Amino acid sequence: MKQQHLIYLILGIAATALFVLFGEWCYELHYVNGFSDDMHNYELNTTVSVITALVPWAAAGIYYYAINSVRFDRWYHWLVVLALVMLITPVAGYMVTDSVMADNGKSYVAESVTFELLNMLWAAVLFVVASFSMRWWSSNCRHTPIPQ
Amino acid sequence: MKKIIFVVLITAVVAVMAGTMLSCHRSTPLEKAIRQALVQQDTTQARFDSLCSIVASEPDRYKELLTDAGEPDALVLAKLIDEIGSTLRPPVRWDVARYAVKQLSLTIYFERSGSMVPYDAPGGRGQLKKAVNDLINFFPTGDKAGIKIVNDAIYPYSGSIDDFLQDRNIYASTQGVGNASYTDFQKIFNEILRVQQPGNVSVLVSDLIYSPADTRDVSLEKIFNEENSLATRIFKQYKGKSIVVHQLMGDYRGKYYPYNGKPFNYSGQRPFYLVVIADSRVIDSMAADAAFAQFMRPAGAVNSYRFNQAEQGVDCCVLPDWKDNSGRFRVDHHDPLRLTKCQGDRTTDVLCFSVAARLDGLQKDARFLADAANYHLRSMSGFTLKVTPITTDMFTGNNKSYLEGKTHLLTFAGKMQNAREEVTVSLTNDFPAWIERSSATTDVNPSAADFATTTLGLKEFLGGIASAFGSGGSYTTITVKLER
Amino acid sequence: MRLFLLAIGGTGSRVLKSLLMLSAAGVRPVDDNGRPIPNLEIVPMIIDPHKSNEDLKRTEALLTNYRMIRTKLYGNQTDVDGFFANRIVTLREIMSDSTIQITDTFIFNLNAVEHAKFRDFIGYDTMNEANQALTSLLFADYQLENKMNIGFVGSPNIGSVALNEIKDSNEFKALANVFQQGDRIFFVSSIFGGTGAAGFPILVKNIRQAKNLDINNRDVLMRAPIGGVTVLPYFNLEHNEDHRIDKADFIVKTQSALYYYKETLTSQNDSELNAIFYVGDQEVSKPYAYDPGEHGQRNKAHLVELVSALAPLRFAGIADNRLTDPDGNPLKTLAFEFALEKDERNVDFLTFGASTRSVIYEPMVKFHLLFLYLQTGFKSMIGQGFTEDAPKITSDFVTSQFYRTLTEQFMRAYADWLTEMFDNNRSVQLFTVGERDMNRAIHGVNTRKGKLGFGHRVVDNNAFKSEMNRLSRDSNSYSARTVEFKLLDLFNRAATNLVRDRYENIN
Repeated sequence: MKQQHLIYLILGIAATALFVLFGEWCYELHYVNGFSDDMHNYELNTTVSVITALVPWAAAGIYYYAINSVRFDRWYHWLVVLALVMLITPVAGYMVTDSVMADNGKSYVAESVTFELLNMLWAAVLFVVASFSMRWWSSNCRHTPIPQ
Repeated sequence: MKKIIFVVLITAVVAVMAGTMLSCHRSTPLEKAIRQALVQQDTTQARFDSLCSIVASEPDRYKELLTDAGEPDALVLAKLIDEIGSTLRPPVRWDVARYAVKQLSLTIYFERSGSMVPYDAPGGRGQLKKAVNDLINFFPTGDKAGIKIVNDAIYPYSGSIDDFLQDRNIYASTQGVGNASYTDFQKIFNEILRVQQPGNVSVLVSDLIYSPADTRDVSLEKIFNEENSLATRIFKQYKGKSIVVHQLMGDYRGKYYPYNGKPFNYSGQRPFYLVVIADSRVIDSMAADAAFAQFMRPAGAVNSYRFNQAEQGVDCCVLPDWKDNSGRFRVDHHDPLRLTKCQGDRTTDVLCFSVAARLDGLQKDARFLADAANYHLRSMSGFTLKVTPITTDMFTGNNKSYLEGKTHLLTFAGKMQNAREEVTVSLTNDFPAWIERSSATTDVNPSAADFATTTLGLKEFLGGIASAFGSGGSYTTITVKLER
Repeated sequence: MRLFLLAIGGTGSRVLKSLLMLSAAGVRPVDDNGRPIPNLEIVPMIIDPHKSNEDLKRTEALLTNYRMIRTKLYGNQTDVDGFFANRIVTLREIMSDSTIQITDTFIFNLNAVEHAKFRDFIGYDTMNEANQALTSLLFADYQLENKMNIGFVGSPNIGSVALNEIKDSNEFKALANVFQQGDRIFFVSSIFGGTGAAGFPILVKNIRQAKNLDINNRDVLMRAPIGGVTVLPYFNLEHNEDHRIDKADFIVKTQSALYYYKETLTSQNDSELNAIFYVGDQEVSKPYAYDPGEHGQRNKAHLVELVSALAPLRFAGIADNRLTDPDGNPLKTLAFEFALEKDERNVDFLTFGASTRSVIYEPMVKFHLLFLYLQTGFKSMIGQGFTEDAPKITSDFVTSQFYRTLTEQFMRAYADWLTEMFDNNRSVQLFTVGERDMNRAIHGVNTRKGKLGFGHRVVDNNAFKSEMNRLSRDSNSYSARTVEFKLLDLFNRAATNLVRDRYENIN
């Protein structure tokens, strides 16, 4: 229980909170006429950013504290979880986006796919952030993916 | 022990973070409902009423949105709606302040001067009576309308609304009320304006021929000047009022009394006028309210003009993705009328973009709005303007939110010659030509070509009103900023 | 407390080996209340002129390894818990007086005797005729011709004469020098052989009569609480034409010695010994190869040695007031026996009585699991989990002297010791020899039923890794310690938890 680790946790939470707060800004680094505005209007940027924050944190939580297994403590196991996060987050994001857009009579398949591909990268970044925020107290996986 | 402190600390940090995140994104059900209504472009009174019911259902939560009487305060709500609407892309305007004007009342001032009687002659088609009946019928609370008889002064109508509506010859039944030989506009307008309550809509049904007493030997020009000054003086005192003048044509069968001339029989068309007088805000709200659509645009009106119409903003946005677009641009997130990264088309160098605007709130007829000549365009690079009314067949899935609720597409095209530029278009509020056309300087000759369509001194009288409110300017101005 | 442990003869060495194994497992002497004896240092001294004795050599090597391992783990600390808990030192190591010259070994230097023939040692040739005649009556010719560096070859009459000289040695003086109030002396010897049978009473007599000697601390030394384990005959010899050592003689010699001890050591009126432990077994062991010493005596480890090794630990735990009166004079000798709960030829933990089990079961199981873990699991875990916590255990660790000594020397000796006891009669089957599966490693003890009643709890390398990971995470004390300590301490703590949680409770 080092102070340093506590700082990592706080920084990680802060970074994630910032991501959620400024999710729209993050997403609009890739601005698409029309689609981005509708994402804004339906508050989907916020919804998706919350999903993109929650999935990696939940996954990291599950990996480090629920699974927390010596049989699953190598860097490549962590990569498997990362891959899952990079799969689940965009799929969940796409489903939510698509359903809201469809409810409003919009259809942005290509734009949504591109958006979610980029979101996949955010999810990966957030999974790294979440991992390095909470891994320190995991009994079996605190040295995964790279030793302290 | 350390562990406990640690757990408490972590929990606190997470709670604070979560709290911050939640509070930043927390919206009340009302805010959500407003946002949804705006996003769905469902800016109807019914939707507004549903918002009010949300407020009313939780008075404690929304107490700052209630009036002292405990009713949802439309003006405060309007502010909130404006705030939320301005965060949307494109921003959505929803003028709900007009809903604050509830339970409007209608008073009809029916001119009963000698020259008005032939409009309701049994042999005519009765357009005047029809127009007045329509006013009453198409005003939501028209069944409680007040009716006054006007000539040298204002007199009450003795019958009920039904009596009035069923009356085949209104002039016969009101014969003997006041002095029908002259019409004192000064007295009449002063009185109408003086007694008018905030929610009242007064309509003067008149031929707008100024006929004061004792005009023998007074020159027509003098009368015109007097009429002009009088109008200016009266209306200057009531800056918050707006006046809408509708010109209609009616069958005239009977004696016509020209100015300082010998009366003669005339059988044919003559113009008459419905002068709607109310607070500007009341006019605004009626103009925006579908329930008053027929009241505001009377059937048979050939020309209309509203005096004291403030320049107003209109809902508009640039279509990011539209078939006519050429070149490239990006719509700014915060200012929907600011285009950045503008680039002309690769081959033609022409930058073409379209602004969808909602112009129906300007109380101008379709013809006026569709005519590009009524728009004044200013740009450094000589952009051109094309105006196209929006029809539903233009809607596509992704453009729907941009087009829905808008009435006209203003398409600008030009070769951008500067790194930064502004294209400004104004819908000009010029003194209407039809008033001039409909104004006569003499009315002694019934066989004159324009006798059937002109009114003596109309220009002077309405011009006086225009002077009172200060004319010119524009109904609305849209400025699109362009940046390379 | 220092416990001077004088291991005499081949049996002494072998019992000492068992004691080392127990100590490595973490068995510590405890008082009547079960509290470990504080500041305990065991000073083993092997007294055996037969230096090429294989058992002696094996034990000496093991002592050296133990000492090296323990120093790496705990430095000079006493009062530690876990593997290699008992501090074992040489006399030289604790000696502050540099005027006495002794070597830094666990072996008592018997230079004076070991190179001579017995006849030269007693000056046979310089005796007058009468004495020579008497001597010839007391000693057989072959005994007089014996070179004593092969021991006393089952001849207590020779040993008793030769070992009487010990009192004049530097080692004895050094012992007297460091001996302090509260220290204790314990002898390990066999009653039926040569060296031990003779040496034990003589050395006791020399200590009790220390006032006549020219040494320091005489008063303290002569009042020292002295205990001894006397191993009664327990092994058999293969038949051989050479009859210098004969199984048939064992019983006779034992009987005579017991009578002698009764008179001189444990007499009702004049108890020289404070405590005596008699250990033996009527069950005949597998015959040991006959070897009177020339080729190096190397006998298989035996249950009796393991049991005997418990004696010094028990002795260290006896309260002072049960051993001596307030003046420090010995009370009536306390005599101890040992019994198995079940008279079975195959001995596992359940064969022992509850009190023995409570002392040895958990430490020995933990040590055995360590043995298995180091063999099968540890290396592949380097670079993961707890090994990455400070101090980091890197792959260099397995090539370190410590690790190699522990695994290639000590653990190998441990495995041999287990196998030898297993192969012997009685067959000691505490652990299933050759079984690498931790779940089945403890003979007669299963893992507990699974939590929901299905299957069994699992003890394997991963279970250890997981537990050690957890413990390492929750400890911040290791960063100031060595990797050696971290590894063994973590394992010990993990093993304590797992043994208690996952194996059936037999205590």
